[in-house]
Amino acid sequence: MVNDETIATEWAIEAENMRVDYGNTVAVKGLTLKIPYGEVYGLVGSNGAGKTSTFSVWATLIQPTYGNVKVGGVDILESPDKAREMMAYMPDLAPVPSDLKVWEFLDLFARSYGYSASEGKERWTDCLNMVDLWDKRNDFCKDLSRGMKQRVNLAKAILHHPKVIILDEPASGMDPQSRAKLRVILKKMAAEGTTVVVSSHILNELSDMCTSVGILHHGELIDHGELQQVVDRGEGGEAQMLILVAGEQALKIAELKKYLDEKHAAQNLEPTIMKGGVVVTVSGGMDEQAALLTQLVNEGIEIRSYAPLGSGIEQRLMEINR
Amino acid sequence: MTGEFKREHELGVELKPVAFWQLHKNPILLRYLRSRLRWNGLAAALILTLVISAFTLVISYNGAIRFSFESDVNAYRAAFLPVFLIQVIIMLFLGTGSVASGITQEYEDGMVDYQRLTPMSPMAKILGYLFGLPIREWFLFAVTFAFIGIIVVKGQVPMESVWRVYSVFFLSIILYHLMALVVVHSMKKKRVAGRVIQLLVVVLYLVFPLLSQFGLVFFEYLTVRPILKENMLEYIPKGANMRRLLDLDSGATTVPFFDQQLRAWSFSMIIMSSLTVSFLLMLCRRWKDVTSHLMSKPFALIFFGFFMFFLIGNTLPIAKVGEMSITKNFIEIREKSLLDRIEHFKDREPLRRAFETKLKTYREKTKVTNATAADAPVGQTVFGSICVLFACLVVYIVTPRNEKYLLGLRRARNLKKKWIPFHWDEAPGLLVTLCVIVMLTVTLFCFSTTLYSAPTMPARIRGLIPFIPIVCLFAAVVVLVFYLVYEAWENKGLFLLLLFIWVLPIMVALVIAVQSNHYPTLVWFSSISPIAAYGYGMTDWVFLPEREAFFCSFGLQVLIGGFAALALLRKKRSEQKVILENLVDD
Repeated sequence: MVNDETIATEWAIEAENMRVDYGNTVAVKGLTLKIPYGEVYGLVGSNGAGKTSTFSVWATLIQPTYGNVKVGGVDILESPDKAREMMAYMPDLAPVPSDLKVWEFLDLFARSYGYSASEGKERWTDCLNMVDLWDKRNDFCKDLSRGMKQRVNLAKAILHHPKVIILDEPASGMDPQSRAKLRVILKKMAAEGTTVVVSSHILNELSDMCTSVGILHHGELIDHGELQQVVDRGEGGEAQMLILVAGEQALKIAELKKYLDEKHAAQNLEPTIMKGGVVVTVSGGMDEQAALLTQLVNEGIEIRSYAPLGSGIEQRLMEINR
Repeated sequence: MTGEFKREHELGVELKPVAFWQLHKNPILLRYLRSRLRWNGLAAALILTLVISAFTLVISYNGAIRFSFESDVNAYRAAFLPVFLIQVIIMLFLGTGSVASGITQEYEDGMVDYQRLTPMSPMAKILGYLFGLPIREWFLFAVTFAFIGIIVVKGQVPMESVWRVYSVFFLSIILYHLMALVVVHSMKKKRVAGRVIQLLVVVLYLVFPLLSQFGLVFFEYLTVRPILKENMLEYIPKGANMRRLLDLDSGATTVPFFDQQLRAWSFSMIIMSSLTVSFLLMLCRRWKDVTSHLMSKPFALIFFGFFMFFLIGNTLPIAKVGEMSITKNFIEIREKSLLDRIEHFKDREPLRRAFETKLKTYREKTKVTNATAADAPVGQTVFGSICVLFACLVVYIVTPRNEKYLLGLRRARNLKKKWIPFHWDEAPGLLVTLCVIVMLTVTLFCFSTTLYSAPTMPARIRGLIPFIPIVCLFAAVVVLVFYLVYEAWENKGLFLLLLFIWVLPIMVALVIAVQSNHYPTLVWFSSISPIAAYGYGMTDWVFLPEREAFFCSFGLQVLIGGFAALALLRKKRSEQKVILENLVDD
């Protein structure tokens, strides 16, 4: 199914000067990007940034206005069928047919990829076990919850052992347990050499599973690279942090807020009581947050714990949007 | 969390997607075998089909024995057409509906995009849907074959005739189901497409065959009626009701094609298989790229040329003898209706005499208006209209919308090309339109010249021959204006053109015709529509202003075309400028 020539390539996805237009609207502009095998690559950006258009081109659903795209070394414009053999795509709100049972749905696609009846059954059994839906195999797809439908689609996506999996908002509608499972599955696949490209609005989750990210803004790739490098390249900007204090809660929280209002007015921390503590907005990055905490400790405030609100990538994205 | 993520090449397993000829392994077909043949959905339809088919067979058989005093063999034969009609309803009406609604549902579920991503060939996917979506109807159709089997054996109908009928019927089913797929794939509003296809089946089966009255026998061969006439007529008892209902006794059983007389079976097979192949190619294009046109530009030209060739091949032999039979038929029908009334009112003296007088006047009038002479403009108008409409359809299919054109322009500029290459879908449709116009005018010229110079035509009609090039030029201008308006103002402009220039004037003229007998006003109004004006161009009834109205309509078309051309030129210039500026920005 996949010949040696295509396996030999170094890059799972190569896009060069890729552009997508809808009439006079430029959805993606001059996207040049290379993603190696074994990565979990997060593509982030606000609504309308061009993520879905980019995924649609890579998945061979639409053609770019111009530019070259290769998946597993195969030019998707020249040999779309060959490229399809080695990739899987799971769209946002992934569809399921209303008239099929779960196993029938998976069997349809197992056979579509060329598995025989027995091989296919073996494959969809494995995949259903992976997403913990074996018990639901005889249920009609339409009767599943949204999260379960997403999991069925994930099972469908991994049926043919793709080299590249493109997932658009895969975790939407999934409960926390399923999300955790999704993370494990994707990380495991990446560890075995599969490239996972994923977009999500839940950026904390992306931070947990991605090895590298790209940030799209108005159709342009603003930054990309290893996750920490991209975060570090940020200006710092503003970050929110939750401070929890020890002792009698309500009283101490109120004291802390009052203290911050009075003594740190010049820093414009905008302290707010919420989430059982005080949330402050700190200008700058990790160093500035650490400095503030040190100051508070030195001044005798018993800090029980603290947590930055939002991931580094989330802050970076907000910075870009600003 | 178990399972091995080893790829097939690592495991040494070679996966080969199902090829299109392996229909028994086709995953899409298997999917529908499961979903559409579930017992609780199928049971009611199966019982209903069995009951209706059995009832039809029994009632037809006993009816023929008791009321028409037919022999046992003939009584079975009399049941053939009613049971066949049930099969037609199952496969052509219900089956086509299932295809349209099923593929619409697939689009709504998002499954079409999923299927697009599988490595099966487009042809395998098309065949999977083609036979899978109406699988329940195929099953019910197979069940009704038990009854056909009884009729054929007991009625001693030769197998060759049965085979001929069913080979064409099978192709006809495939053709109609493919048409449903093409319509749904090409329309943006998929829900509307389902209704459009049901309407199309009715039009193709009941309305288009009526055009054979005008000499356009081509359309009749998209149905199974001619094949029944050719192969089953001698076995169906003369008194069978369905024989009369389907009007199997009228018309010839061979097809005129240039100087040849073809068998209905051969002609049907040629027409239907050509259209089937064309539809398959269209669908393949759509499966490969969802944004592509149904036809590439070169294919559109071949398709249009093919249609013109067959149309003129059928009509020329009829035109040569000047017998476009419609007027003759109308006169006969009108005379028969008057005779019926005279018979009906035979005991009511004043009414009877009134109708007798009317009949006398009518006969005198139709003697003056020579039937053959009146046939020429009517035949000319109908033939011309069909050709122009078809040319417009082809132009519409291959002309890109503005969005697509801009895309092509950017793509071409990126490749350092000055213009979008002709064969790209994104290229403007002007060149194809001009080629279509050339083929159209040649066809119209050949047809009109042959018809108007037929030996049976009176001298007055032959005198109109010098006008033929002008009328052909008019048809060319109409198609060109259609193209210019579409390319300049897209669907909105086209809608206004078709409504206010093509259709509304004819409707107003009809109202005038019904309300008053002021024919000059009627002619002036209707001539705004190019369809009517085309007919007036070759009519000479002396007392009416057809000629003036024709030239005014010609002027109107040129005026609209001029405006559209200017608008198009401005639009293209500004778009090119914008694209060039954008590229500089890039």
